[in-house]
Amino acid sequence: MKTVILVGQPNSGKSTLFNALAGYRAVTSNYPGTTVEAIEAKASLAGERVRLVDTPGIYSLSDATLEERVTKQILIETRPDVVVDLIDATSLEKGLYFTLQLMEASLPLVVALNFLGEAKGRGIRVDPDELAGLLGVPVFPIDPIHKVGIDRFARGALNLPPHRGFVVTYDDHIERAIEMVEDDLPEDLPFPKRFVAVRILEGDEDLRRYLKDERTVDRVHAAIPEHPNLREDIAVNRHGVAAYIARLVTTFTKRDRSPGWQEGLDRILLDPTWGMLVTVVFLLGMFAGLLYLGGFVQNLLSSVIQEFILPGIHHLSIGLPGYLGTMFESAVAGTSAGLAIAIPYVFLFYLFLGLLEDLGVLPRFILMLDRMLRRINLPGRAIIPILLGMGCTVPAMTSTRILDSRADRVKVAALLAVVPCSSRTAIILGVVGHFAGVLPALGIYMIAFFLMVGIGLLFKKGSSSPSPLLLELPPYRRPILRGVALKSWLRMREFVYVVIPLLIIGGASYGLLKWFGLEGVLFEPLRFITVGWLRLPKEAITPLVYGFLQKDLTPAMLSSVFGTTDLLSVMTPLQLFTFGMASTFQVPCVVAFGMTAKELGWRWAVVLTAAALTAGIVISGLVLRTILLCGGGG
Amino acid sequence: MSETVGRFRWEGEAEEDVLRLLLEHAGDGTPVPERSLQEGLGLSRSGFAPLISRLKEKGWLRKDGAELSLTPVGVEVARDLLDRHRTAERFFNEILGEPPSFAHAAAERLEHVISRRALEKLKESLERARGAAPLADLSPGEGGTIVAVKGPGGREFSRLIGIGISPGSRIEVSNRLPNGAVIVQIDGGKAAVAEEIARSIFVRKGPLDEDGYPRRPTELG
Repeated sequence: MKTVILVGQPNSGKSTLFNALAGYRAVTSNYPGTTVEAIEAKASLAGERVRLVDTPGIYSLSDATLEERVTKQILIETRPDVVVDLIDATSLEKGLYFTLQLMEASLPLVVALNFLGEAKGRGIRVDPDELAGLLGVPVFPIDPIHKVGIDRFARGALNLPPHRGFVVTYDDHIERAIEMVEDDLPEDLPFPKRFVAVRILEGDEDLRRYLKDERTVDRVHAAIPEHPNLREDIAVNRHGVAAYIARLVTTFTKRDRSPGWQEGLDRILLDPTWGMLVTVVFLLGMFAGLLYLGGFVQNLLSSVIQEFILPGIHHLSIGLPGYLGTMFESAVAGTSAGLAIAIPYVFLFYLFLGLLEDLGVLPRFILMLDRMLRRINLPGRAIIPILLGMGCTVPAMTSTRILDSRADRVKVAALLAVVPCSSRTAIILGVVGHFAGVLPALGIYMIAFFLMVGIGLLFKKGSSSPSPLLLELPPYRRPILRGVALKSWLRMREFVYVVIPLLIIGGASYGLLKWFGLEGVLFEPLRFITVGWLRLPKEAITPLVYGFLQKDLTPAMLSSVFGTTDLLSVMTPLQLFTFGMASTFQVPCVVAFGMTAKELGWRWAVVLTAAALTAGIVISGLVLRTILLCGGGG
Repeated sequence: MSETVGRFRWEGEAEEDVLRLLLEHAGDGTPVPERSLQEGLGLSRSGFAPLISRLKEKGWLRKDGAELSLTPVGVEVARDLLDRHRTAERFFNEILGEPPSFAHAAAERLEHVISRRALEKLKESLERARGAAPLADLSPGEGGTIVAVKGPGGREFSRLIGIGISPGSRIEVSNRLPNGAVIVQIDGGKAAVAEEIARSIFVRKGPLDEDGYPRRPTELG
């Protein structure tokens, strides 16, 4: 079976093409040592079964980001039969820069030209045949949204003629430098010698190991005094060629190059005041949507569980020997209660995030939030782990790698302890919001926000000033709902696979404790925390402790210890609010703890977790006392 | 001990000149015969020998028999010097309009004493004089062709070129944020650039070509 790899820049329409080819069926695979995802599917191209791999969108094969390194790794390791390079015709120059790099690697390349229609609308005409002639590789115009040109493209991609594509010639001095490095490279390389040499000169750390002598690069730099910045000069040279080719195949039919409504929208979203307003309203609206839509689905699932699943399970477990029956019953009860709360909120969160991404508005929001984040000395990029952290802390922790300095990473890791992940959102909305009301739920978000600012200011000293803002603002585009839904499901699936086993184990272990009459073993020793400090029922310690394993266990255990899903019958709204705080302001789960240890080391993981746990409990009690002092609560 | 070769020199200058000459003639590390270097500098044997031993002490120079070569540290120092020399030379020649011979002689002296900061200022004014201004100084609606991208190296630079910001590209400012960040139109797309990066991108202002594209002299290689 042939392997076909899809590469391209962000927003070039890669996932749309992937879905058009694979028919909305895909699995994700993580590449070693990363959580950067490559999406894979078996697809039928022009009647032939192929393995189709989608890579993360990247601008070029430089070493700047994790995604770029992963893509390079995929290109080396899978030894693809076909590499599809998707280019956005509205920004040809940029796309061709990457294409030229791929051609240096002598990959079996085919170029797919997307958004030709949009380009035409902006007065830009690109001639695919002329481009194919110049590059020496097949170029196919496609429109995956309307499924136009896909068949012709698929046939062409699978019947690639043997070709020797165009290779960039750099200026004389750079060519001399390339030759010098080539001379020091062995014969058996995964890529052509020239490509490896160029990449090494551009500072590629991974390919550098092929050098027979590490000092070669220094020797080359010394030998070419004309280019004190060899690395930059290579890029500039290549970009120049890309721009030249782009110019040769492009004709402009009119001056006005971007449609009016796009500009109009940007006049609002990029305006300092209005943009900020829209960002805040949108994010608030997103959470309001989560609250109501999620609540609706939660109700639906809960009643199904109450009416059908639990009675059925009870029936089944009667046939089992005593302790097994209890274990089984608790496991199913825990799992279904956990899922009923987690699924609606987690899935909806990813759905909203995916929509914002595909609409092209997310970068505008990041730009607005950048100004705020810089107040606490964080780069705008830090919004990515923070936003991801609203989904799940585990991938968020990994994504802190996009931050350059370790100080920033520790700071964001500390922030993530109070950024409510979707499992904690499930507690805030599903437990507090659902039973105690919208205001207490919003209150927890407000406190979380103040804690974030507080942590930011606390860590402000000693952290270097963040790397300056540089952000692409892609054109607005109409999202394809099926594609967004698939993306959300793929993002959520990983989460479900981790959570379900934990829910089953958690539920079963609780059943076992119950059978031996040990479920109350922690009630009395930790009474000083629950009853004394937090003024909660003593049973609340069990969901809090289980919550450390996995936050989705918290609502499930809460129902288990009290033996009811109607929480208002056992706790007052104020107690629910306090409980919500105490279980929210913590490192969210044992998986996140492990990930923190992996990313920042055990010392930081233990310090951050212990600090968050103590601070969370202390702050919850303090807030409670403030409310009581002000005469609130009921 | 100072040498007088037509004009007054101090010790450090002579040392640096040795390095620069070595870099210009044998930058790849191939050794140069001692004698040819001595002649190139126009020094007497008695002036040359102590100079070389001082450079060896500093770890900038290696001596094998009668041949000399630069150490990696020496290469660094020499490259820095070459950069200063070129910039100073261009400044006298292009900005002040002095003939190349004068510019060269003036640069010979200036390269030794000019500070890093002054050098950057000199480079900046060079760009300005060629009709270029930092992107950060452009007002909304203004645009032109990028002539130089300075400052950021490595990672930052790959990111810039990834979104199409490279010498020769056409760029236009569409608006600015209160924190100084600039929103630009580049290669059919848009990007937000922090003020400090926008300071290091030099743009030659000018209207579009008849076909709406900047002129580019590059030939296909």
